[in-house]
Amino acid sequence: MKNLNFKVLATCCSALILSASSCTKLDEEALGSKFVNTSNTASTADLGSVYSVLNGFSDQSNVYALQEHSTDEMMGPTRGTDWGDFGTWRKLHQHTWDPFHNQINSSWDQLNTGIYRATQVIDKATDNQIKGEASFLRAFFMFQVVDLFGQQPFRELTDSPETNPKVFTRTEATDFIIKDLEFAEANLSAGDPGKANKAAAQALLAKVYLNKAVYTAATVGGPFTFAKADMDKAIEYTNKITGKSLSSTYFNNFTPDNSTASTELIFVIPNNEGAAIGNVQNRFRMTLHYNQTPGGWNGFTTLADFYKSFEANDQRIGGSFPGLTDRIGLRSGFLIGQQFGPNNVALKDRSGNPLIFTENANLLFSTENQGIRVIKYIPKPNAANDNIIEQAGNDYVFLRYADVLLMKAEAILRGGTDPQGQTPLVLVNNLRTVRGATPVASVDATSLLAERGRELYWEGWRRNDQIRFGTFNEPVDQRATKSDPSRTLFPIPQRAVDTNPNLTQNAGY
Amino acid sequence: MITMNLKILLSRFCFSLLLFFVCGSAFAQNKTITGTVTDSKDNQPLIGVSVAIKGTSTGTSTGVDGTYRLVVPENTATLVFSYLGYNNQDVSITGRTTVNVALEGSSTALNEVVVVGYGTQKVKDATGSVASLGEKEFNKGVISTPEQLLQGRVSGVQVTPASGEPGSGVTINIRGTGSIRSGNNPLFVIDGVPIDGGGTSGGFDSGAGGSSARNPLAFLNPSDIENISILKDASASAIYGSRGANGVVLITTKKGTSGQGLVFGVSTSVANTANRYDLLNASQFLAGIQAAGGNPSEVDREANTDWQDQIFRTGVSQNYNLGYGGASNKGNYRFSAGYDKIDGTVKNSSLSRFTGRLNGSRNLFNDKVRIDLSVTGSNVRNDYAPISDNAGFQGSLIGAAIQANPTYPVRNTDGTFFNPGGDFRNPAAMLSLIDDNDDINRYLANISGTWNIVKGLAYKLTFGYDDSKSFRETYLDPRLQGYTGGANFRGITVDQVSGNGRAIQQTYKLQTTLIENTLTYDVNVAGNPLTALVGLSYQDFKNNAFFDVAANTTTPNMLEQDLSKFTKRVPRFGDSTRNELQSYFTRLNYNIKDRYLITATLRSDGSSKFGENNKYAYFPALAGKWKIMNESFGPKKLFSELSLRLNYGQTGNQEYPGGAALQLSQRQLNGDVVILNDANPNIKWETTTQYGAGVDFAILNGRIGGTVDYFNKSTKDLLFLQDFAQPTANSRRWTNLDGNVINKGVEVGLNLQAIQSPKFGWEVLYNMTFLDNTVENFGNTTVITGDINGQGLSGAYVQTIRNGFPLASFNLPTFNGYDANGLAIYPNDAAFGVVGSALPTFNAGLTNNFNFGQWNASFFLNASTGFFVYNNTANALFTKGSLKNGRNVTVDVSQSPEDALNAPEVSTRFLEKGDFLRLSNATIGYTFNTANMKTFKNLRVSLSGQNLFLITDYSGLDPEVNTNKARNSVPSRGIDYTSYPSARTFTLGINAGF
Repeated sequence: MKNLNFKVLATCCSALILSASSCTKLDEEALGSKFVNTSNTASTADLGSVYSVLNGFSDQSNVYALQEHSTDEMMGPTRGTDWGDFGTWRKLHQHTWDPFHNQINSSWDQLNTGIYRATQVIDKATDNQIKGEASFLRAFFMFQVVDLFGQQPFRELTDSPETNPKVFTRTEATDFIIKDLEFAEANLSAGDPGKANKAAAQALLAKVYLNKAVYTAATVGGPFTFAKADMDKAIEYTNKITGKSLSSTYFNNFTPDNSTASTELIFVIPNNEGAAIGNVQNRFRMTLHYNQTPGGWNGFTTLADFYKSFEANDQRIGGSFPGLTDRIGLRSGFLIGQQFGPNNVALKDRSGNPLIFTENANLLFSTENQGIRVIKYIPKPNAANDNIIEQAGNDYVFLRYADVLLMKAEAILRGGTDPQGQTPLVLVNNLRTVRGATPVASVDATSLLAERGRELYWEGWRRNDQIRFGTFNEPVDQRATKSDPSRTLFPIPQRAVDTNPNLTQNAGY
Repeated sequence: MITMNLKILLSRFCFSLLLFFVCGSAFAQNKTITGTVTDSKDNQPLIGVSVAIKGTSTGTSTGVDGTYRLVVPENTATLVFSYLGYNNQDVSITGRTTVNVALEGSSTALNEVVVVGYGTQKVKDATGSVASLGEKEFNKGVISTPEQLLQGRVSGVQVTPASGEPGSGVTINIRGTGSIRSGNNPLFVIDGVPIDGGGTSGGFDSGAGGSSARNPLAFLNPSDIENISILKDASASAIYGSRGANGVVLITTKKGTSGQGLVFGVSTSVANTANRYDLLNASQFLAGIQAAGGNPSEVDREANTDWQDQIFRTGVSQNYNLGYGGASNKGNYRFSAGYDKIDGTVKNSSLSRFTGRLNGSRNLFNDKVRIDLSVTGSNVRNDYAPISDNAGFQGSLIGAAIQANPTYPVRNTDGTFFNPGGDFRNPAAMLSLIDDNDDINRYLANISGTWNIVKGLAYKLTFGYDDSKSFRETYLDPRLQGYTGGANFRGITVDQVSGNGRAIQQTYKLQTTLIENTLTYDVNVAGNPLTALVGLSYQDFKNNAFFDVAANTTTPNMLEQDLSKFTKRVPRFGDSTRNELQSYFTRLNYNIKDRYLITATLRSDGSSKFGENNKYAYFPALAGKWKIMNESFGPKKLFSELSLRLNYGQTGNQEYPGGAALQLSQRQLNGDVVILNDANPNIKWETTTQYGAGVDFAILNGRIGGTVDYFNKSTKDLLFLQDFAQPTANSRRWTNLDGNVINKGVEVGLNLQAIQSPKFGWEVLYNMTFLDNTVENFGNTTVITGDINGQGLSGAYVQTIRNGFPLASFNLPTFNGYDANGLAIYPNDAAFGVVGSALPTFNAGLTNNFNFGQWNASFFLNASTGFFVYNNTANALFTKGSLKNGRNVTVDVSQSPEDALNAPEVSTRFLEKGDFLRLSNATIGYTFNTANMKTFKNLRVSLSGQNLFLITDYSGLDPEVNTNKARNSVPSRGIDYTSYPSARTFTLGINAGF
């Protein structure tokens, strides 16, 4: 009897245990603002996450730094306690980076993330406008990867996450970029420079063809043979860009209202005051001293030789700027000598000495006053308070018409034929005249590179230009010896090589 | 006269001495008392029990068989029996010669019963390594969170506070650090309910800087805690398999006991910074600027301000506790309420806490059914000083105060705050113009019913519910200077704080539901007792967080108004997650002839956080104990206890954010859709395999006892946010990383009854841990972490995880002094190398307890060695260049040969040995004799000091520090960056029972 009781009770108990806990399948849920995107198409909202990758370009580090600090127009001197930063800036200027360099790592990630996001949109999109914009953006990011790293891993949307991405050679990747751009050029309309557009695709195509000799060269670092067919293509695309003209005031390309004040903009990050996405504040804070208005981080300078390449009357050298200098003492362009703040007060540095920017700077041991600073983007002072700078509305410029005209001049100089019959000399002197510089008698490779420098300084193109013109490895101030040609490519980050066996480290690293 | 007194004194002293020596020898008219002392619960003999004539020091103690023999004067009326962990008993011997006594264990016993998962076990039957701390062993004084109760007291358990802030986060490592991401803390189980670690604010940068998460256990009233049990090895923690990999901490709250009545406790404390920075005063500072090549007259603002005085204070704290309880054979009940107000040593920082608790149990149906109920509710309010983990060079409050020019006045002559200009911040203005506080309500309830179906068979159903809601408000006044830089909240940008102001409200909700069924069966198999347990557990975790951000106001003191008064509103945004755990478990305890004890455990766990095919994992464990003393050949002459333990087991870890198996997207406030992660459909459990052996022993009739344990833990399938081969939607994704983290070591716990007499008792408790941590089978992978903040230090980091080295290894160039120009020398081309780890290789704790009559005293020392601390504070602020730039520095920096142009790169210059010895706790108390008091059942007054002295070579404030400097979610260890200083605290307390 007792035994029976026990059995009954045990059975009841087991039943109770099973019923009391409802068994769950432990399915994972996405809640709130998160969701699993099962849509077979891509929308402009998906495209937004591709555009957002552009915002990283207006930072002072990563892609911008790789393209600028390694050149003859920018360096980031260590100033005692400031800007040592693990040697990251010095290594860029001295060409002593390695596959562990933090900015090389981040640039690789940033660009490839953009490429993968764009691929997701391209493969899913049914609308050719969306597909075209994503194609342009993928080409824009891939252009940078090809330019900086010389190889392009590629992950198809259909690949399993465990698949190691295949790798395009530099030539294969260049062809891939051209295909993407041709699709974008065919499907996008001309218009808002704040979005991928037809003119942007054309300008970038011209740039790809202009650089194709570099990207397909047998040896990294040259010599480069520029094919006439490529130069003709470059000219063809520059000629297709219409409705743009040079702005009569150079700095109008960079003012808070540059979206209306400039007639040159082709592709930009559109920033609106107070609702900025890719803010350009970094462009002035990265160079200005702490005690200037707006207060900066006392960082980057240009090199004295680069500054000396300007004529005094060239408006691109900058000077007093209306609405800026009269309000907060800051000038545009190259800052040298005693600096002033609001009410024309002569500024002092942090230890109480006068704030006088010198021509030269020492890369390893600079004082806080050394080096020429550069203001390209114009800050907007608050209407009431001199000490407050508005969240800048300056659009951040990637491609503009002056660059297109100089590319055209270069393509002709390198053997291309212009159906419009223009010459490099006419194109260059037209530009120089608008900028207030004296016309030159002749144009050769050296003077054209110098002109590109004067026009496009600190806009992120200098490394690309110097490599194409063969001067990238030449000694410059604070890098006394010629660097190895292998430095014209950055190394693939070690962690990328470690995670994808299809990647081979670039020669020389 | 004086001589006379001295003579009397001396004679009395001699008489006492005589008495002391002759005790036990025969007096005239004596009688002999004999008897046996046993444990009232299991009737086992108790060894080493002190037996004394009441009111004298004459006495003896029991032998190995629990017997004693004592010769006493004929007129002796009463004997006192006392034994550690048991209640004293007075026994009348009038007319008796045989006196057998059964001692009752006190509720706070150390060596009686330990709480293990799903039940309790006698210590002497415990096969696993379980440490148990009762109220007596807890740290005393100002205790803001329960972990502080056991800091340093248990071997193998390292408790590291993030900082000295009241209620700050705590890192607890049981037998080392196993994981290479956050989620290394053990599982906390309160009265049977596993607690989710979330539900508090942290990590969200409100503009005042990001700070690490608050301590989730701050909601518990420490004085409600009766016992904390720590399951250290896998055999003990495997019953919590899913989450036992980092050990399990079981917290048991106080229950009502018979005759308990009303207890009341009140204490008040004063706390001061234990240590401050030795900074330059105004005239030293100006001289330093001059020497460094600056222009003192330009930086001199003519005041002489001690900025540390401006931000630090004496914190006065109060604690009140009230408890009322009782018990009968039908059940028990206990109500308690507590209030704490703990003021930190930094102005504006405090923690206040109201708690209420009801614990009860009731037997029904002729004791066939028992209902247990435990409900606690708490309200915790934190006031925060603006101190963050990752402030830039302007510093959060402490960084700003350290570097502030001492010639700056606090205020201008018109009463407004002095604005230093540039990016310098006025610390006093920061305190005044930033208001940051939160309000956390948390309820934890569990009810269980136990049905004793037939003798030996019991079914238990437990239902647990945990609900927490935290609301944090941060207000940054537009008059704050030096807060430049906007912020981006999920796609929406807001302006810099200076001139615009900002207000942020953070709401966090957490709901956890637990349903558990267990069936326990006690049976005799082949004449030996077997206990079998089967169970099923389901737990559901819901987390919900949302944020409201408003910016742009020119009107000061907007906090009293609503956010709509700000001109820019970021639409509300948030996150929700839900996880489930479903587990089946079984455990067998088999005791063969009380010589061989075996525990076998198996738990199968399923978690919704893992991939479709990897949701479930099995965690087995096996442990055995051999009680050598119960063998016929047991070495009874030498030992009074000798047992050998062996254990092996596996435990799991799922403490990572989850959501990794799916590719999740998120819609931003600006409409964009962002892909949050790359899916890993194969993600699975991280597993720790552990084996170990231990010896429990006692000699000299139990006067010296202890345990020695060896353990070896290997963690594999490390859950890690790993680099993912580009191109990808994100550069990293969660994977199970190849490699093993090995923790092995030896733990020693010793206790010594140095002096055991009724008049004077001296007990020594000592614990120490030798720990070795290594990463193995890691290939060429190098993981970096330990971000360093400060000017010129962007991108700098100091720690790496790499094959063959411990976790938290510092990887740095060696600093070799300065050259003739005052520039740093780094040999070997400044090559990086591993130069030590932040993980101590040795920890020790020493407790001394004294009883003399109604007085008692205790002091507790702890020490750690074999570890390094990276002084990020010095790296960022204490350099010659910093002085040249107009920042204050320490006196020794101003005298160093360093040149102002020397860049203070990360190097061994700022890496310091952290070895320390600390007098953590000292308490003296007086217990009144309440026999003749009408009001009081008991009454005790005590005075405690915490952190009384610290011996260390570390140049910062305190080497026991752990600022959160994680990079890519990889936690850092042992980095000190302008941390909240630790306090030295004195507490006066009164406890009374009515």
